[in-house]
Amino acid sequence: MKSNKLRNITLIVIAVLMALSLTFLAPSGAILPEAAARYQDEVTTDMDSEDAWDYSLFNPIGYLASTGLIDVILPTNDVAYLPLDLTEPGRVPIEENFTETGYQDDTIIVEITEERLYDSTFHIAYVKIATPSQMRTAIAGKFGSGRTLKSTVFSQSMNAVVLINGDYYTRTDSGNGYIVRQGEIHRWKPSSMTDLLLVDENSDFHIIIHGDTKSVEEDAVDAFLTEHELINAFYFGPALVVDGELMEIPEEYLGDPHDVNPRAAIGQLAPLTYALVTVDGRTDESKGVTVEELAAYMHEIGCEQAYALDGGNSSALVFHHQLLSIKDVHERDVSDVIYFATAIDN
Amino acid sequence: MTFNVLGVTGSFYGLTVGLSALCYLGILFFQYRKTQFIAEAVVLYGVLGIPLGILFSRAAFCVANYTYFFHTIEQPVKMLYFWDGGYSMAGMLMGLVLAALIAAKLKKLNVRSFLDAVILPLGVLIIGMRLAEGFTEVLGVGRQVDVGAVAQSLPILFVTEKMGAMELHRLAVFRYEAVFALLILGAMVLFRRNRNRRDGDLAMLFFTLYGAGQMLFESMRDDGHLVISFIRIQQVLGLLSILIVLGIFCRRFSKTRGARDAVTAAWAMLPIMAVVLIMMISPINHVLDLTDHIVLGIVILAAMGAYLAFFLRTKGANPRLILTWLVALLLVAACVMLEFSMDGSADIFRDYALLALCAAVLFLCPFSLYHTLTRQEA
Repeated sequence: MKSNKLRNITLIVIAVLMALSLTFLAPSGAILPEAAARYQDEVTTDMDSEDAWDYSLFNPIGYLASTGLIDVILPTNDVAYLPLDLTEPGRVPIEENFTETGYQDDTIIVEITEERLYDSTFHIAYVKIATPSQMRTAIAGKFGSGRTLKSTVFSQSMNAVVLINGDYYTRTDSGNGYIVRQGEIHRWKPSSMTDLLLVDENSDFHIIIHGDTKSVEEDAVDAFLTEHELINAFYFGPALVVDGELMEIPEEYLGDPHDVNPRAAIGQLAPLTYALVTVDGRTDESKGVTVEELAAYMHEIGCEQAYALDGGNSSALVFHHQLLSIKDVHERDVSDVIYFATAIDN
Repeated sequence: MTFNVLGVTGSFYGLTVGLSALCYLGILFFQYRKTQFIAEAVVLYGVLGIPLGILFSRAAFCVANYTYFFHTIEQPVKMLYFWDGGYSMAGMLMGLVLAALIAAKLKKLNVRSFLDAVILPLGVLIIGMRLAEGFTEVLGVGRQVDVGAVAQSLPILFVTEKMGAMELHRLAVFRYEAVFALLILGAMVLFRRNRNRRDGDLAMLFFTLYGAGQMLFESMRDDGHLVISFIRIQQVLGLLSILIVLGIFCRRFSKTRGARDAVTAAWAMLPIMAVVLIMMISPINHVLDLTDHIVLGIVILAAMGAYLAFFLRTKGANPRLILTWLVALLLVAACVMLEFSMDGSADIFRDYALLALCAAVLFLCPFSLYHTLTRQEA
């Protein structure tokens, strides 16, 4: 009897101690962000993007000399870069400068247009910026939080002049891919299945075509890092246009490339000059396009580099916080976006 | 959110979970303190339940995040680093059930009866664990919503989050789940008063009710926890638990009935088969489309045909059983369609309300059979 009582008391004490030890042994139901960052650091190439942008005043003469598509000279003396920080929004645009078809101030020009091709409606935003820091990315919440947001909410939160959805990095998780946003690394793994879009410190695009083995991408990224800082990296694709050449779309690729669907793509026409394109789909008025058709269009409008982003219901082009893209759903929450902001001090 | 104790970092999450576990075990022990064997079994259950709960909770988390450990970071040994966080509620429940089974066996108690006993106050533990998620700033947070004045008058329903230049409101799902766990606790106390229930019925009702809640609340979450692609694991497990319990009650129900003409039920099944046939010919929308999956459509029709034949031929087939299954399957289909419709929904609250209704009726499917059975056995 006495031994039973002693045993029970001992077991109760053990149970109490085990319960209280959870204070130190169970910090969260999710992996702690600092732990996830530590795990990531153990597999990542040392990449320091903190000094990627010179925060002194930017003299864009060199870039202005090479701009092609939009024949307007931006008076960009005394323009201060936007900070690299992922959580920092762009500067507030001048409300009066918005029109139905565009926006213009001393640091950014956006022209919105629409075309009808392949029985579908294309929405195009041509963008010219004065500083590389005005091409930015944003994610919902923090890396690893799994958060999503509507594209229009992203636009309002980050003071975007124009915005397009990204690669929905939280869902394209086969464990592979280089996912980098504003210099912050979320994932650093080569893939043998998906093309990459790398954006450097000049906001120039570099597209890496995947090979049969992961080492193809790994070697290409390593070579890139010897010459450039990596600011943003996207893991969706496929590559549509590379160095001015129209790419052949692989038979097998992520996201049903040969079916007609809503689509999204981003292209670079010239230094600091871009095209954001979405195609409406899954409606009676606009069925959508295949990736081949999207690639052909991006090539036709003069993109030197063009890359497909997450299409389907994720595709979203937002201008002046209004969603231009139309699909058979209202507006999907997405995990990340690419946006262009003004650098003007309003 | 952390604090320091003698140089060691503790977390408010872990402290809340630990205190909840102590409350839960304390209530259990207090309830059965006068019955020696059961009290000893409860103590043994506590000693086994905590480590097994942690083990299974961690194991379930690692299985769901297998890709992360094996491919993304290529460090499977990190699965052992449980102090870095990462647990699953569903896994914890499995661990506790196993602990209850072991404790009952060792103390030579009726396993089902003991399981009912430990399940009864489990809501206390779940309340604490859900509230603990509020300390993580990551878990238990739902979609961003535009709620305007409601956020001012009822701030407790939302979590605010700074994003760029704006402050956003997100659903405080962890608080809703804590309230629901309180309702489960109350329901268990009510269900316990039914003297005609069998051993194990309380446990089954618990998992059915909890599963119905998970179907709704997991849909609300926007925290990426235990999600594979777009599929929320705990939502699927919640649905499965309802269907498993429904199957058990159906089997018990069929044993109390003689064979009956089930032709009526066959007529009800035909419209569903017609819908599948339509989807094979022409898509209803981009999801409900079997035009490129004819073989799958044939398999579905064959399965439904076999299902009908099985129930028409099996002794004990009963129209009510078949109709109950039919309703349950229709509700499962409705839940799946609602879940798809959340993607880009123009009225997310309407969709959540419909999902809640479907989950509630889905719970009633096995519950109605249970109610009838216990009335018969009175």
